[in-house]
Amino acid sequence: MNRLRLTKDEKKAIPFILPGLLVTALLIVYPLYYIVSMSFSENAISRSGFAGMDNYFSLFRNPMFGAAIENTVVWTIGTVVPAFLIGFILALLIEKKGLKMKGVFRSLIFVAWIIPGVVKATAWKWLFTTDGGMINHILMSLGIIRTEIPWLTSPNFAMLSIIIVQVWACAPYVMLMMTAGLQQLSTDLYESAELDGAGWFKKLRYITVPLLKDVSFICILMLLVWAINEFSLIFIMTSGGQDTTTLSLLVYNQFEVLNINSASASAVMQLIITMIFAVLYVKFVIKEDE
Amino acid sequence: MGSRKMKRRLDKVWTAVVYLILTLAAAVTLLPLAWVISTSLKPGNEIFANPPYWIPKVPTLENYLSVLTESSIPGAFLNSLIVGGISTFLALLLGGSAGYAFSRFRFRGRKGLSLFMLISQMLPLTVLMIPMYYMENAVGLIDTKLGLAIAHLAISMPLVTWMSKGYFNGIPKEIEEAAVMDGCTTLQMLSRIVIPLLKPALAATGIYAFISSWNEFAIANVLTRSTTSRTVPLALNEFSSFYRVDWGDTMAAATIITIPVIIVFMLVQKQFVEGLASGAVKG
Repeated sequence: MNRLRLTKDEKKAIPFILPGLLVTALLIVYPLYYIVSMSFSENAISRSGFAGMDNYFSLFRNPMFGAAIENTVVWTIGTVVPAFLIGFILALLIEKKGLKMKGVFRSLIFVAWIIPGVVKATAWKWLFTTDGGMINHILMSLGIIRTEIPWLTSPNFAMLSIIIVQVWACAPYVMLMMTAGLQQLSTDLYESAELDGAGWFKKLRYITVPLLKDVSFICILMLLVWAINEFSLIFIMTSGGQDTTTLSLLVYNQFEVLNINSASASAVMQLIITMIFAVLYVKFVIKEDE
Repeated sequence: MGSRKMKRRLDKVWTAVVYLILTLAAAVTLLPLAWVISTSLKPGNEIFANPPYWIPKVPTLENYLSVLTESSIPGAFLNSLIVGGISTFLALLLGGSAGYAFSRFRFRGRKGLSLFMLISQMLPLTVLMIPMYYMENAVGLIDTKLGLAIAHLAISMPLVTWMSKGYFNGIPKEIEEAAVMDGCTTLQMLSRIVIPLLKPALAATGIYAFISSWNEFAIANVLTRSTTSRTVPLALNEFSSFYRVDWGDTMAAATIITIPVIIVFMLVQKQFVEGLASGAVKG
């Protein structure tokens, strides 16, 4: 068979798929090629002069890069772990047998998830504010703190503040995913386990957790990718102050100050890190599909 | 049988605890949003009242009025509708047909290409934004609605392709074959049978694409400069970027741009939550 000859199916597929592929090539593949070639150029803007790895080496030598990596690690672990645990526990509680108002709780939490990110960030900026903000007021009236904390501008609290917001924003997603996963588990398994006298912990340990392994991995990988890619929340709440400059903020800041060589090299670094988790994610989704 | 009674009582206590925790969780989730609405309804002198309180003493719509008549929000709202409309239309047309091809035809590179569509949904926007800026700058598309709509297509195309591929998979091939036997052309078969069957699912996909454009901040922040193309997330961010923030106006603006999102999502909540489980959805 001629390798170049199109099969009947391929001839039919072409008019459907070609326009989409061209757009994808122009809007995704070409920009990725573009940023990589920028990062290897002496003059990144005009993409001229081959610089080898120079842009990368000077990025690695820059203390800002080390700090950004450190911030990204703190931010990522600090958001993914609590968001997953809280979302998972809420899902277990909401799927408890015989619970009424399940739908109401789920809808309420769903609403919180779909609010535009900019609105979430702005709302929390207002909650965290120092001139009469709600959070300072609550903590002071409970006697936990004596004076207002400048949450978003203080080096000690800025990272903690944005982590709280991201956990608040992502836990509902985990809850929705896990309830979807829990509903697929067969009730027969639980019934026969109950007949054998298994308590709730044993059921959790031997049925729920193992069977939810895949959906948990998908959830965690998604949270990881979101954390590494997050830009608007951090940018809006802290304007990318030094203590909250994650990798994506570093890319933007370097671009803003027209340090394009450094911006393109750090963008490629971010791309590589994200893609490691994205590839793992895709592997799990395919496994689920089959 | 005292122990059974005891167990029933324990069960009741446990159920009460569960309700308590869930109510608390719902409160923590929703109170920040309630505070947004509360602030948006307060007159200026109540916003910084010490101690702060939840229910406005003299509720007023003056913040909404000033946002709707004196701010950049109405213009940005219109820009967002146009940008989202263009990118959603193109994404449904191009991504929908690509999704159909992925679902129905066997061709070389099919698996690799469809995985590329899935993985593209996870690309960092901060990585795309730099080349997009230079590319659009070269063709004069910076600070235009069309330029932003095209950039948003990079987000919604893969999304729509992947989601619609899943929906087309759910339609039995036999239905299509029967239609072709009856003498339908491919286009007739699609427009008369397949698309009507998938109307709710495709509507959900379109709404999802539209909302992702409506909410998008990072790329719009770089590609737009003036009120001719700035969308609602940017207009809202401007409110809270001043040295002295007018929180009443800011929260009214936040409410105004959130309402359309909540309304359309409520319409498609069911399809949407189902889509989540198949890994087709990005936040």
